[in-house]
Amino acid sequence: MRMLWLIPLLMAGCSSIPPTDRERWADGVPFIRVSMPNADIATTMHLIGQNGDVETWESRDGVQVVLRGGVLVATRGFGFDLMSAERGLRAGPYTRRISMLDGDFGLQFMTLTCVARSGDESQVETCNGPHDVIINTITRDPGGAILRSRQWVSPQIGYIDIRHGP
Amino acid sequence: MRLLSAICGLVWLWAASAVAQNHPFRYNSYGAPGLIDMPGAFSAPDAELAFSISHFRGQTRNTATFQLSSGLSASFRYAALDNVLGQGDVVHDRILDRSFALHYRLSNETDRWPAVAVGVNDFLGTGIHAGEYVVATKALRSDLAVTAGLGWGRLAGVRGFDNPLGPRFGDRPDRDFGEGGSVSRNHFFKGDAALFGGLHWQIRDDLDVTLEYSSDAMLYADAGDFDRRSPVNIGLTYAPSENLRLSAHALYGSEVGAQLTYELNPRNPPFGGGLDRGPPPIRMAAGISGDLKQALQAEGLVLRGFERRNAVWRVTVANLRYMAAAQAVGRVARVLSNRAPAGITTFDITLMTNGIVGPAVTLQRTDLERHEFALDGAQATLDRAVIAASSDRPPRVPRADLQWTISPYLTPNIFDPDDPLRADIGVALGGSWSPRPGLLLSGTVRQRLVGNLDQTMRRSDSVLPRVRSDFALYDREGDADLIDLTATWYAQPHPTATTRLSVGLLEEAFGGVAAEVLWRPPDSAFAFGIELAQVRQRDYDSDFGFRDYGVATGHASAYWDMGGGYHVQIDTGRYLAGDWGGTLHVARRFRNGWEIGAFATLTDVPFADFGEGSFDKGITFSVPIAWLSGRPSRQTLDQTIRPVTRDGGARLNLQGRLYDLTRSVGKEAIIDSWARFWR
Repeated sequence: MRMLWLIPLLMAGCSSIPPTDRERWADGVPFIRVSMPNADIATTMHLIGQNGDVETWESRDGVQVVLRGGVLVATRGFGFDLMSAERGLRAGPYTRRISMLDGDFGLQFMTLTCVARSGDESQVETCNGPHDVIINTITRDPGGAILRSRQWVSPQIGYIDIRHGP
Repeated sequence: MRLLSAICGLVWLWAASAVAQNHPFRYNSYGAPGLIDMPGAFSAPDAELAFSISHFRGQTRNTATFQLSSGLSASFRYAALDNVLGQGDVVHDRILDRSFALHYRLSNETDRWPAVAVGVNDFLGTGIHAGEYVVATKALRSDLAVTAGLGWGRLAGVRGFDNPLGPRFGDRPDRDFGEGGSVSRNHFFKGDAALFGGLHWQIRDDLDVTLEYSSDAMLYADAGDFDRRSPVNIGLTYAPSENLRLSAHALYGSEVGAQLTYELNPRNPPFGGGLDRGPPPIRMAAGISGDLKQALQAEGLVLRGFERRNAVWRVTVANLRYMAAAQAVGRVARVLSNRAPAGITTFDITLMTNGIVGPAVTLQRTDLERHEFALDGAQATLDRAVIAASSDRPPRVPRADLQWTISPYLTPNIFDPDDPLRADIGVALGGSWSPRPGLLLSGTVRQRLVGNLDQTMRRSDSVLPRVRSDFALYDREGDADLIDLTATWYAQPHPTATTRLSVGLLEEAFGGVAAEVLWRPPDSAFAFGIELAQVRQRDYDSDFGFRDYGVATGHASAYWDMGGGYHVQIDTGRYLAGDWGGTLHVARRFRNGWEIGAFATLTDVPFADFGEGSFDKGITFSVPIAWLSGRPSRQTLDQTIRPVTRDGGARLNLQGRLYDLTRSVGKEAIIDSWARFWR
């Protein structure tokens, strides 16, 4: 029996389409530095959208992190992304539900049991999830502006480091 | 380094280093759930696909096993057996044998009772492996399980006793190498029975030991002189990664064997939710430039129709990039939301392919803004969306479409007894031009670069018109091959009815005219279609010439979406050799685009006239490129594997049949993928 295997060339053309919606690299656009401590890689992401108090930041190759008051509530383009998350850093012990895509076009929800503590410079959110203990740390300057944070994305990706400002 | 490529590497690293999971099962040397040579009453995780190669003493078994449901698994095996004792004490130097097997877990294990499974091995092939069994497995501890079973046929080779099913099952007919292929029902559970069993001990997550008592007499191996010193086999399996198992076997007191098993699950793509670029956020910060058409183009979407009606923007869009229909709808919604003036409150989005439209998805602009980052934003958006068929579409955006692709190809010729490894490698050039939606002119040319398919010497011995069995001549003759060149007209006279008319060189071996009509009643699990074609066989050199053979062929088809991802298609009608009959195709489809199925065709051609295999059958699969690469793409690798290519029960290989085309833009496709609306 004869078979035919057309070997698809991964369309390099995808990236050659002019990213008209992505031309936001003008000077003065706020940016953050995002790195993955497990992988020794870092990239710059620019602020490309703001819906209420939710900010979307994007790297040149289309990877996004979404922050609400500095707390990670979604990612896109990491593969094993955080699709959505409830508001973090609340008072008292609280449950925080998050969602992730599964491999068959469905959503999986996960419930975290969290407690947030505020120190002089940093806020630490400690959550118990089905897999692991998750510790999200957000460091602010005395004026309250966020300097940097280390936040959890998903079981596969682990943590990312976000550095704000220049 | 770009973040995206780094993520690629990281994810692969993660997948490779993950600790092997403690599966309470293993695949045996036949590639089925079992011990070493014996079966066991356990199953792989649902939907797992396993490929195994096992070898010992001149026997190599290559098996693909699919866990069809949580209890039922099906195996297709291609075995090479050297030095085999055949009928009438003839010794064959080498037999290349294709066979199927089914394994079904009747009941799950409870605290007191073992799991029980039943199975049949080699029920469609030549019968050299034929055996049936009932087997029970019970865990003694979490890491230790004991298996005991009752076997018939090959599994009753030693210490057999009278069939406990009674005297009516007492005689097992001799195995028949004959044409093979027919279901050997009259063998099932007949003849003597024998006991087998074993132990499986999971020492560590990545290491297990299996001990079995085999009831296989190994009668045919080693020209009938197999040195069977002991019924006891021992196996050691090491799992270096989650997907891979390597086994070493000590067999029958005289031999050693080895086995490699690779497992994957269509539900677990290596890149999770995919590496697709993030979508444009709703309420972009700045820098919105370019028109709607360009903005959609940047997301892999083509604007086909546009209209403003009061406070509604209505668009028709072709999705060139996303497997998930809802992801395309979501990205259209985002782009519209960022460009519509303040007075627009509602978006009405329809997906189109080849001039055929799906239902309109109506979304409120405020819902998009509110739910973009809500925890269950996808469901909240769906709850407030209206998805309904409409025959009133916005005016077309005039645009002629020229597309072409160039890709390398490989055409392996498998199962040729003379040389199971033949292939051509070359370049395929495909082009299509659509002067207006619904009208498509397309063609494919292939140029072989290197290969040895022209050395295939085996010629058809078919007594039927040689509509398929002369495939080797098509490979041999001609230089650059014009594979197809067609004009196709798609139309949609009603939202639930679509038609197609194709004229030209329809496929590699046939040219002519083909017409199809499909009726998809709304919100129904059923669809019905009719296809009629008048075709002529093309010359072997694959240009514009034709041979003498012409035929009118056609089918009435019924499609049933059974739910849970299971689909059934029944075609009845006249096949290419002029034979009348029907085809049953059963497939399991995953929402992510994977599809694995099997089909069988019975026609009025007698088994003897059909030749080897007795009737046409095979397995089909479809693997989305996006699943493999993590990059968004609508392309799939599609393949049909037939144990034998003969002339009975053959259908035209047409591109763009209506059922799959309408499915890609339909309501089910949109709703089934809705979790990706905000992806």
